[in-house]
Amino acid sequence: MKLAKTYSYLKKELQIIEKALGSVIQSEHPVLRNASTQLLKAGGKRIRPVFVLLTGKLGDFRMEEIKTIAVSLELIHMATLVHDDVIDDAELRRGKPTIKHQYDNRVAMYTGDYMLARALENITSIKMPEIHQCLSKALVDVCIGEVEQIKYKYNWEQNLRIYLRRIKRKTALLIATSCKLGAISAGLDASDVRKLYKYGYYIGMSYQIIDDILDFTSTEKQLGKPAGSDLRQGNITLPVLFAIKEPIFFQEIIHIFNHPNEITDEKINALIDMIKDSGAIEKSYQISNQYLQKALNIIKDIPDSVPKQTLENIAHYIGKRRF
Amino acid sequence: MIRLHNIMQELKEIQTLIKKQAHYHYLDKHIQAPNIDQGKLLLIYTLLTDCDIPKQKKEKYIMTTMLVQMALDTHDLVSNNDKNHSHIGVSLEQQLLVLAGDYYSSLYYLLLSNINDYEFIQILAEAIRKINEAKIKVYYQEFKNYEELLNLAKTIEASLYTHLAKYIGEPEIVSYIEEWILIYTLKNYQHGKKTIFDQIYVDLDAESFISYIEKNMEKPMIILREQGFQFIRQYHLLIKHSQSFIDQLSN
Repeated sequence: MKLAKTYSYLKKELQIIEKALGSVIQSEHPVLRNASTQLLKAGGKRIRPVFVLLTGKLGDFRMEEIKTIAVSLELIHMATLVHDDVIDDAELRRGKPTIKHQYDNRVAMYTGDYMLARALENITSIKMPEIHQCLSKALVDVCIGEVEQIKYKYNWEQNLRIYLRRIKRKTALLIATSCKLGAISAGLDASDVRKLYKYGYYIGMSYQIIDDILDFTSTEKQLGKPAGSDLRQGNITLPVLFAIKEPIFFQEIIHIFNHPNEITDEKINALIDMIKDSGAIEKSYQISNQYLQKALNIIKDIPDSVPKQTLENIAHYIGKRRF
Repeated sequence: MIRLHNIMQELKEIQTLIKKQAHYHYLDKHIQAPNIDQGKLLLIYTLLTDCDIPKQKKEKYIMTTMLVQMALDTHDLVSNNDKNHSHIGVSLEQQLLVLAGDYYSSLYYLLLSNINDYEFIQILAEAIRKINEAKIKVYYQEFKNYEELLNLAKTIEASLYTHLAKYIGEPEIVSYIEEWILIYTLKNYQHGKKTIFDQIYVDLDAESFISYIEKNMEKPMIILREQGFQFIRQYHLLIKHSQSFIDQLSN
């Protein structure tokens, strides 16, 4: 089953959000307009808008406000992707050329800045202090997370805590924020808002861990980029952290990355095979499942409803996601 | 002289606050500390001097506008040149310049969110949008003559300050701000400092451009001198002392 099937009844609302996204990025300049639209059309799961919609439906649902929040969150996410591709020198994203690759760094920088500006112009039409305080704090933390990711690149001796803090900032915070903003808009009480924020956080952690697993277990076609891309770039993810406990793997990875000019696809593929054989993938799934369990537990007291059921289904789906 | 001393002291304090706010140990360790444009800091300070808003809010407006300026300036330092790649990808400095710019932008949003000033968040975001639209026009050489180029430069360099001026109810000084910033930018260009004109990657005939600048700087200078508002006179006074002023601020 595809993830989108779990929330297929949101199709109409998601279309409205998609249309709004398209219209918000209609820059006066064709290059900015085309670059932003290209990124938008490359797709993506729109998981943040989905969480805003679902949590927004748990209370007093106001589509206009929800649309504004969802559009801004997605634009912020997209702006960070455009800049990430400059940082990673990435040629492909979701199998399509990146803005950085199709145009250049300068255009990618302008496009990212433009999209972030549009996100803030858009969200400030909502005058709710909690919304802005939560989103701005998340945005600062996301930026810090990106810096920390670079700080710990090629650091083979980092521990699990550092990895978890990094993926929290990188992924989980924006998903948690999506859930919280939807819940605030719906007028839910503080306790439920907190629970939904935590639900989003746990889901985000699990989601990123599985993404990190799939970087080793999926094919280039499924990923839209070569397998093991994270490892090539020195990003040490959970499977590597587990595998590195094996002295043979530790020595091998140090040996390979000590000679960065000689890194080949064959050597990376050999490392991927060693990771798969080490049991690291299974251990990573276990950690991911623990987060999913926490996500399910935290919302169990929220009154039953279709959107709540969907939140649970998403947690179940993420646990089974294999590409 | 006493007033000038007080202004300088206040600006030093604001500058320290901005640096403290923008500080992040790993960024500061690996990239050059972001430049707080002294001329623009003076400009915004002057703009807000006689404005009827609480001191704390003024301080936030100065800090956030300067953080946005720093964000934009930092992103302009990101190279288009593949030579900045190290053997394992993009150099650390380049990567951190991208992130530092994003970080300063996010701080502006955070600071203004904390005082619930959504309107000013929107005002600065609108300025950022317009600046990026103008920057891309300069980058793609979409100007027919120097006049058009200078108009784009005005948008790029002055939008943050003209938007602030309109927001605080001083729309009549917008054109003066634009002229002032243009002169300031052109002077920086003449003195070899990095400006928007460095973004132009095809040959800009430097000699004819500078001669055009020299000729065209006279007109806005005369306008500012003869018709200057209180704001401009005050700014002139500050600028007259600007070199020693900036030297002292930088120390």
